Amino acid sequence: MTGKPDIKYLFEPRTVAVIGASHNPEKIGYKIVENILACGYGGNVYPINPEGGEILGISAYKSVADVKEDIDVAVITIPAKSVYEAVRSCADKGVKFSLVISSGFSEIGDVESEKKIVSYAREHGMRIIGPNIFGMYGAKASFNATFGTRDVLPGDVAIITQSGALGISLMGRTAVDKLGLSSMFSLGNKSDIDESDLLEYLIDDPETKIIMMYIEGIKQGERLVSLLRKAAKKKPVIVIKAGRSRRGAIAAASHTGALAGADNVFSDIMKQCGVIRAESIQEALDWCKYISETRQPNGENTVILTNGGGMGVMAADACEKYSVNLFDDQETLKKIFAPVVPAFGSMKNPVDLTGQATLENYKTAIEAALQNKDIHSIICLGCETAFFDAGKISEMIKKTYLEARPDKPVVFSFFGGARIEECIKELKDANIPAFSDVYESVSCMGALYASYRNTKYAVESTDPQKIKIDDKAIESVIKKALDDGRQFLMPYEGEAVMAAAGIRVPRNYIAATIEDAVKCAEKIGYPVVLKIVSRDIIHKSDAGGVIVNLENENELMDAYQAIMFNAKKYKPDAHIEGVQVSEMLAKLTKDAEVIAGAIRDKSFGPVVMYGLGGIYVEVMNDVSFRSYPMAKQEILDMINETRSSKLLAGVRGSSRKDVSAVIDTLAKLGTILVRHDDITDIEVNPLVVYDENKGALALDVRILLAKSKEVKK
Amino acid sequence: MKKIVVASTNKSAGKTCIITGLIKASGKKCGYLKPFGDRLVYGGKKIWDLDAGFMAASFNLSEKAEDMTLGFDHSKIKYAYDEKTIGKKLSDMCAKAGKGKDALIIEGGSEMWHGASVLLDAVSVTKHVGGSLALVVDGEEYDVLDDIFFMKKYLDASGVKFAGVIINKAADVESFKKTYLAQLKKEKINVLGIIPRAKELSYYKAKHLLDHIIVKNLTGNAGLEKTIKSVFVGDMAENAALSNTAFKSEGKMVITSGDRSDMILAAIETASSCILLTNGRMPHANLITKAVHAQIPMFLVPTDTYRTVTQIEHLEPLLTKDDKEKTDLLKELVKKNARIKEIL
Repeated sequence: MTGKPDIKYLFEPRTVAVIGASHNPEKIGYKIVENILACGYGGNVYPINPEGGEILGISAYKSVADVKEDIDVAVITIPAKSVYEAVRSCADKGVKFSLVISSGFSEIGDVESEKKIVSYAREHGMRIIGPNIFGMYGAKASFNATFGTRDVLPGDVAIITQSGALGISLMGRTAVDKLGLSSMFSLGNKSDIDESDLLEYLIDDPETKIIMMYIEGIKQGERLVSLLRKAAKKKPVIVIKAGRSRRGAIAAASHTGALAGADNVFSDIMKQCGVIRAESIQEALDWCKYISETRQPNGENTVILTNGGGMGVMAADACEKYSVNLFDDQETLKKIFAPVVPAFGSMKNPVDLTGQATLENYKTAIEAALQNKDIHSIICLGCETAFFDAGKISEMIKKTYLEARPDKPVVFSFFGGARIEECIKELKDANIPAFSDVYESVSCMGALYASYRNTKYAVESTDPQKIKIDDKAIESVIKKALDDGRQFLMPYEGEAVMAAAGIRVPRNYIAATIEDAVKCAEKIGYPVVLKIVSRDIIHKSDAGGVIVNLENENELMDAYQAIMFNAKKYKPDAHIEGVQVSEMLAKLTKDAEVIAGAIRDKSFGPVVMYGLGGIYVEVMNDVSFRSYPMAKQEILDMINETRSSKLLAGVRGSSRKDVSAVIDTLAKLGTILVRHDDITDIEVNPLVVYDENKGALALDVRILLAKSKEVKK
Repeated sequence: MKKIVVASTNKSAGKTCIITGLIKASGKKCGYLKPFGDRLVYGGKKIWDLDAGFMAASFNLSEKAEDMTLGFDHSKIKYAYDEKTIGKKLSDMCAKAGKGKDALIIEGGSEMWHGASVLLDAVSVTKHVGGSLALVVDGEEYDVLDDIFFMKKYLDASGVKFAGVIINKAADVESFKKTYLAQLKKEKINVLGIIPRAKELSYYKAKHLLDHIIVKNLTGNAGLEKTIKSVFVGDMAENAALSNTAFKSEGKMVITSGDRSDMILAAIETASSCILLTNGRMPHANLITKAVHAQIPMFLVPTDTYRTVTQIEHLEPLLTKDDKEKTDLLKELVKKNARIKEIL
């Protein structure tokens, strides 16, 4: 068999062989067969054991080759040293998918054996999951080929996890939280099948309403980004990414053999894809359960009902953190809540029913909010007081919530003693979203709204092939640099690339001597800027190689000497080609200097960057990233999420800047990267943004290249 | 008015130190020029030589430092002057700088042949301005002798007046006199002074790095006046550094990568005079705060540790106008060991 098998047979296998099925109940090979049978799998199961005999009442085959029927999935549970032979026999038999449970491959440094297995499997049209996994679960076929819990509930949440041990625990936890699964996969070393392959299926799987992923490292990031974007437009995708911290990233890398990408890039790109990122496993599970059991809202007006001002304020803070919009129409709020709020309460949002509120008051307020069409979701909070019987809260809520079956999202949060805790447990048992912590409840509402916005406001990416840039001119600049054996462009070459992409740069000339520099300055007209030109000095400012605002010949001559002196001091062996004399444009205003860049990320491919520019970029670290291509609206979102975006809107009396010129520049930088493989990094710092409709200007450009093609081979 | 050109065969022979000692010890009113600059300072869109700046400020000279130098770059000199105009320009500068003075001291470029292609080497300058040439030498004893003997022959052949030689940074003055003085006299070489080495002259203040290495100052004004007496490269584990006696020494500058929090902390806790961080790696904010509290200046350079150490190794402990201890020491050294009247 050649070509890839239909992945449907991985999710819904008709037949399964367990290589290494064991007679010993303590072995994984026994537990897997036991789980498959116990969970009600309806297909044929073929235990494979060289000793033959019976395992759990089923006849075992000595070899997979002895099985007459076609096999969709083989589960391999034997020691690493024998896995290659097992994979060979499965591939030769025509097995479609092999789940390699066995560990001892790239995660401990044995990359070669892993490659050998995958290579043989691929040549014979078989796909591999793992090695180093705990198995998989598929609800459609009631197929639990794991050594985790047997109590897994069928449902509509698909979980993909890179970590095996964590996956087993997650599986157990879903049973406790009564979270039903449509499928669950552990990916381990991701030697062949990765999250993208599974996502491709899950996007259109009608049984899957939510996708949850635990990721440590990314491979084939560009494909993953494209699939995540597609998936998030259709259904909520919740991701937990380990390796946020530097030490965590190192641990994740050594754990799986895959390098964890830079967290800020990952985080920003997930945001762009519409993926909701959870901080912890419990948070992700809470979100999954809440979204799974809640209808999508019809709008963004949320009301907080509370009997305690402090709790209401905390909830309002949490709403800001999780981007939940509070309903602010005072007139309507007054109309709805006047009958239940005492004179000393507040009808503003959060609606304060006061500490004297009874359960009846709560019931009336909740019902009023549920019935009003202008309110789209409710956060109901309560502090334990003597005015309501804590033991009866769950009864009241069950009546108002379960009987009404509201078509709008509601979350509850109650805080108090043991009776309140019991009440929360009762509500949870009845699948009512109740929490003791305000932030937990509001975060669920936030996740629901994030997914609501993704599906409602999905935008299409701009096709980079439609953006006009002069590819020939760019290629010729790159070729010259590569022919010179350089992996970076000289500043004037970078400016030539910008000009070819239609990005404005200052008029400039290269001068080899002081005499030339004077002539160039006269040609441009004073004032001018002088910059060192040296292949050995990339960070010109750090080397004291840039002097601005030179107004006459004497100043120019002094600056020339200073630049030469600084360059020799910075790097005594630097080869200095000369200086670049550039026009000095209108006096720059500090608040309009931004940084625009594009990098070829190892995990995600072309990524564009925007942030506050100038010499303190690293210190301020006010930057955002997005995978490219993307829509212009997404570029605007990217700009707006930086703290410094307000500078473009105009602050302290300065006028609004030309944001569309920044968007245009970022799109062009991304396009250059998409269309020119040899370029790995572009940094424009500063990009001076002028007033609205007056454009932007790339004042300084750095471009890095990949190794020349010969070297790359 | 006496005119003397002070030249050397290597850059750091100590010409400026000797000139400073001479002016202070003689008590004479002296003018100063350095036609071909080699220690460029740029500020306010102007350039000047650091030594000229020091002289102007230390001795209250009326000329501006930027007027004491013709240029720093050969191409600039060549572009601005030709054979005729350069001589005239020098004469004009001498007339202005020497006006009302007892003597005019003209400092040569880094080495005495530096600037020969644009007629600004020490011999050409001596010919342009008249006066005599004094040679400052330092180094290993036989290297010093080689330089002196060779330059004597060259100067005699070139026809300039050779005032004599000042041997600087001598490890043992008496031993030098005993061993080599007779040989020098025999060759009719006038020894104007033998100045002993003084380790205090090799120290510099932390703020010196701000002026001479391209660094980012992370700690503001904290401890900029601290004196750096030794350099410790923190490339080992912090506990290994702490057990090293050099690490415990007073007045050390620790050079380490900005991400070596352990080493930075150890440097702060052992009262270093300065911490120089490499690789452009910003340290944790808490460490910067600790350094400020401990009044230890902390600087960041973009270069790697090897390149930084190389730069520091070549860093000259140049004089500054507020270095009173150093200038007083130079005055004493010159007064005791040089024939001042013969020179000025």
